[in-house]
Amino acid sequence: MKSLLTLTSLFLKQLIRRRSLWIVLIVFAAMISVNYFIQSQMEKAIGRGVSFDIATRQAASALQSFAEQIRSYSVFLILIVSALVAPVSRKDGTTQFVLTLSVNRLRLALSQYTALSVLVFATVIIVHVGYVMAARKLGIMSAGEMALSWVFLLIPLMLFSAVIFSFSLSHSAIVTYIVFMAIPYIIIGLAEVGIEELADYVPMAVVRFMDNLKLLFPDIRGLIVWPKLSFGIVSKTPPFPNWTWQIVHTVSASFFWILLGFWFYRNYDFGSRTATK
Amino acid sequence: MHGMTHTDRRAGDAVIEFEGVHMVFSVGIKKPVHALQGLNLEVTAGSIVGLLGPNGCGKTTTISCLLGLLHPQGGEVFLWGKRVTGNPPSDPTRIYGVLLEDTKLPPFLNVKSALAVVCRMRGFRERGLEKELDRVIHTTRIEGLLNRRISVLSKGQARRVGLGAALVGDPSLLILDEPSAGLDVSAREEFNELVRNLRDNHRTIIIASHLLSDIERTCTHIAIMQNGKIILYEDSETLFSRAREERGDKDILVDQKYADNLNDMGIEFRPSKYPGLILILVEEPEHELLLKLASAKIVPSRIEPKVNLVSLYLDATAEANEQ
Repeated sequence: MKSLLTLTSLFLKQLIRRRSLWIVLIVFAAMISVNYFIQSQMEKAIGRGVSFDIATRQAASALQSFAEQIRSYSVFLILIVSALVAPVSRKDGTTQFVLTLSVNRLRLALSQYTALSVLVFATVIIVHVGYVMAARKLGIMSAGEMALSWVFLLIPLMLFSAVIFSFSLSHSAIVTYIVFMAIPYIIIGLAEVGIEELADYVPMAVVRFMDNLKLLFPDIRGLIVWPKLSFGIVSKTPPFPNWTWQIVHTVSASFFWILLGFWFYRNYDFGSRTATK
Repeated sequence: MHGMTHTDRRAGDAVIEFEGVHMVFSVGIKKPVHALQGLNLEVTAGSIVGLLGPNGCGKTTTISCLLGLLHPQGGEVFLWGKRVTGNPPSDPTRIYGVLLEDTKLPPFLNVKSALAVVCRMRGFRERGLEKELDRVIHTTRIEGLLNRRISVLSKGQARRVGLGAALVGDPSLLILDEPSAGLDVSAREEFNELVRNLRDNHRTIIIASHLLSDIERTCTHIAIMQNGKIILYEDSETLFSRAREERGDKDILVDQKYADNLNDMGIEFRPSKYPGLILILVEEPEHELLLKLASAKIVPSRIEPKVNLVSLYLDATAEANEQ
């Protein structure tokens, strides 16, 4: 346990030196700016003669749209940061150094992920506290949401960071971005846009394959309901998701990638050349 | 993850065993590189093995397979009788220290913090940690570097700190990959002296190097690699004495008291491995040199066939090439 703490602290220091801390600080600065923006927006509206009630509603609407942006961008932010931890450590030799200290691979990965989790947790808390400070003034959050809704941001993000991190244990950051950004967001996204037109040109089996390919990827964004405490309010237009199946699918797809990542990692060769298997 | 499996064997005298190990690397679309081709090697406890060979012969790959950093496609590697599968041995009483050629200590830490991390990983705490740190710092003579960041150390300093990290916990097995590569002459000599001071009857040391002079004066066993195979493996004493018998050229050694006479005669010499004896370096026929020495009333203390690791290495590799 003590060696795990030593390793976690080592990798946390590495993360901080790799300017990841700056991401947290930027997020913190962004939250303060939002707070200030909401405040000044209300003051300006009231100054223009708008009633306090309408000014509050306008500010609340701006804040909610900001929450929507946080839900979307946090997934990208986690993808970018989580894919860097293991490759950077391999590149600067820290991974190989730790492995030569009789540390097994699983323990090494666990300590790296724990360090990453500390950073994710800190970021989520900063975002939540900043949002709560603004939302409290507008009265758009209940006490329960203020106290607990951060969990609904943290858990999906931790799950997603585990997916990305486990894959990056044996792949470069670029390959990880290609797999988790290019495939689900670009290729499948394009196919979705023109799926009906596509059926006129390619066999139905191919269309179905492309349509179903995205089931392999966890839809983390769909599970983030923060700053609310319950599912069912994020999507405003039908078809409304069956949340149970949505959760089961996301968790299953996540574990598929985590297991696949660890399978690659188990056989990974820490050398400058690629072994022929 | 897995550590050791049912194919483990009872630990005997052998610390390290390689049995028919094959390792092949693919390089893009080019022909695959066979880094190890049926490597066999057995290292017994207490020996200091010099693993020699040209660049690209498979020395670093051999060490990486031993540490579980690489998974060989064929054959088996055993460390203390346990099959190496990708994870280090779990027995905390059997630790090994490693200094790899391309592995640095964490560049974002200072020297003292980096060594403290290693101490903690080896199970040292509080007072024990301080004591072990002092021991390692003193052994490797890095007192002046403690507050410097790893990333700003010179190559020689980094190697010494790396050796310090490898020595934490006084490991019974020390694995050094190209320990003095890239060092200037004085730094190399200083580093080699550090390594020589680590010799005792209990510690097993493997030194992979292509610098023959480093190996010749340090190791009890010589292993020469070529094309991913061990082409010669023998204890150095037997190897040198057999080679001396086979060779005709002679080394002439005289007592150190004749140094002034040799200087007067313009004959070059250098210290030898025998205490109190100096080795004459003149490149001229033996009988002429002996006549000169006799005329100056200098009696040779030893006359032995001229042989060194370079000649042995060249013979072994040439023979392997012919085959």
